[in-house]
Amino acid sequence: MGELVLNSEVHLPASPGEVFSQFGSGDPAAGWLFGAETSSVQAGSLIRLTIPLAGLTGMEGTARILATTPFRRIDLVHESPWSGHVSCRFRPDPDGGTRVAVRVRIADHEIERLGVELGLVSPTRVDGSIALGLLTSMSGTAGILGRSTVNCAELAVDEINGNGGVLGRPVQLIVADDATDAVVGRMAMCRLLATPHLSAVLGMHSSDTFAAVAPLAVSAATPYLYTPTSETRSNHPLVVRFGETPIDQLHRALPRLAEETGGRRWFFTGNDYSWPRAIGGTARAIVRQMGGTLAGEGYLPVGARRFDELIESIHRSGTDHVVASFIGHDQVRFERAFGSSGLRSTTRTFAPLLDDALVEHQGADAARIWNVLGYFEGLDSETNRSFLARYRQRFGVCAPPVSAAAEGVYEVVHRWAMACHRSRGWDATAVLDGLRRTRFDGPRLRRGTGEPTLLLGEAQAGGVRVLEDVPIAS
Amino acid sequence: MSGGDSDAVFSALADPTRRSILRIIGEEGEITAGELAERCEGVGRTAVSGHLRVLRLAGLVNERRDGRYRRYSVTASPADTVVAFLTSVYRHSLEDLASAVEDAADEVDRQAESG
Repeated sequence: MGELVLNSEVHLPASPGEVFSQFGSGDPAAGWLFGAETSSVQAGSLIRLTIPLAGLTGMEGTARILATTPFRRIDLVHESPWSGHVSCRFRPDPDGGTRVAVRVRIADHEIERLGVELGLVSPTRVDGSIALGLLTSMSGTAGILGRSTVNCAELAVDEINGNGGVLGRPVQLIVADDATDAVVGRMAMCRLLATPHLSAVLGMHSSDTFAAVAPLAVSAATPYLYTPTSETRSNHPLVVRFGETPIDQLHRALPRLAEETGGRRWFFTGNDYSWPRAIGGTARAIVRQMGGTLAGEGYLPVGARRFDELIESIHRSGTDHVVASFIGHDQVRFERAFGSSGLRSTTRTFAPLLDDALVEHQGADAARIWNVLGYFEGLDSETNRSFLARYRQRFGVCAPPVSAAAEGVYEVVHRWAMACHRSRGWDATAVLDGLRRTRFDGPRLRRGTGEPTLLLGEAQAGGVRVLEDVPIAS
Repeated sequence: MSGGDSDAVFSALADPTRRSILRIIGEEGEITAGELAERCEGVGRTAVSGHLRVLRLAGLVNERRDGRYRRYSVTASPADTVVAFLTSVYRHSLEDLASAVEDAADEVDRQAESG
């Protein structure tokens, strides 16, 4: 298989040491590649990058350092919004300056996939295949979770195809990126729905995009399987929401957190759209029920960069607890601002989107934050260990951690295949009926009870520690 | 690919709506602005015209006059467009790095002169 090789070189009027030290500074003026954010320039470090774009949010992505020799060389692997190897070499010039040579290697199949994910190309179809669409965020604020989501969908599709496909036909996964934007999401959904031999579309994106695309799936009579946390589980016959609802996530955790702190005051914050506000509404009712008080509430638009005013009002409120419902990069930035303000020592946080992928990005900023979800990597079961081993074997040690949302996609792809087998055909109503009845023996079914439960987790260095099981409330 | 410097290609392809427009034009072969606007859910006609102008200036789209219509087509294969996008994205980052380092060097010179 071939690959694309891109070579660029610049001459800079600074020593190799000075140029090397620009890398990972987090200063966008140094270019998105060198001005990316990382906690330390060493092998294994995670990098957050923002490719400057028209519009407000930029195309956010992730990379990892493979190897580095100080002042000489940095080797990276980019994992989102596309994957490829990048090698940066620094050579001193006789005039005291530095030649920086950047060599990028991207596999041919990745070029095709990138073309599809960027929305530039329609995918080439596998003969006789049935298509399964996946609408997710590979870029924008929520793009942080994109790669592990696509990985988990691919893993499930590989396992299904390894067992002879669905009803004798190979399954082809077709991915589209909503760029964490509802308008882009509508166009991406239209494109997915026009795919020949399409059985269903999975959605793993914000509820803003959900509201924009669900009616399109309904009018195309295509099953739409929405996997992440969402406001409610109430469904249209063609739309199934699998994710954790606000009451599931909060009913046990908020009283438990108040027990730990002995505090009564709560502050609700997050991005300004329907889901964080639904979390706020449910949290308010629970806090009132347990005799707590509302210290304050404040929301910021998706892609917000400045958190100082919000942090200041949290500080002034004297709250004991914060419920922070930010998505992706916004959550990382909020927690960083929160951590550096010193509030962490007086105020505990519950963050309903916190998972292993986000904890990796937040590092020490995430310490002791709580969340309740259906999955964390630290779940102690044979099924989960075997699932994670297959994930690492397929995508390598450098692949991003499995977020709860990504694992949810893995299970729903398998449940969809089981439902097709069960209904012995592709009829949407029969498949959806089958889907609601299937149980997939994945990480979410636990401890021999056969019943799904949720998990209360606490962020710590390296991931989320599972504290206890939480029953599903809704 | 004809015309268009790397910065113009970068800015043109950086926008997801413009990438979708490019794909639709590529799939249709040739299309008028009006037909294109109908295919772009949720994007207004004026916005579509603006996007077409940016794509044309970057050399990614051709415009042909046909009576009272203008018809648009793409200038490169989708794979070439992806390669052009990636090339421009990495080059753009190095150009930014060069200006940041040069600015810092100028600053040092100024301080040396005034000191």
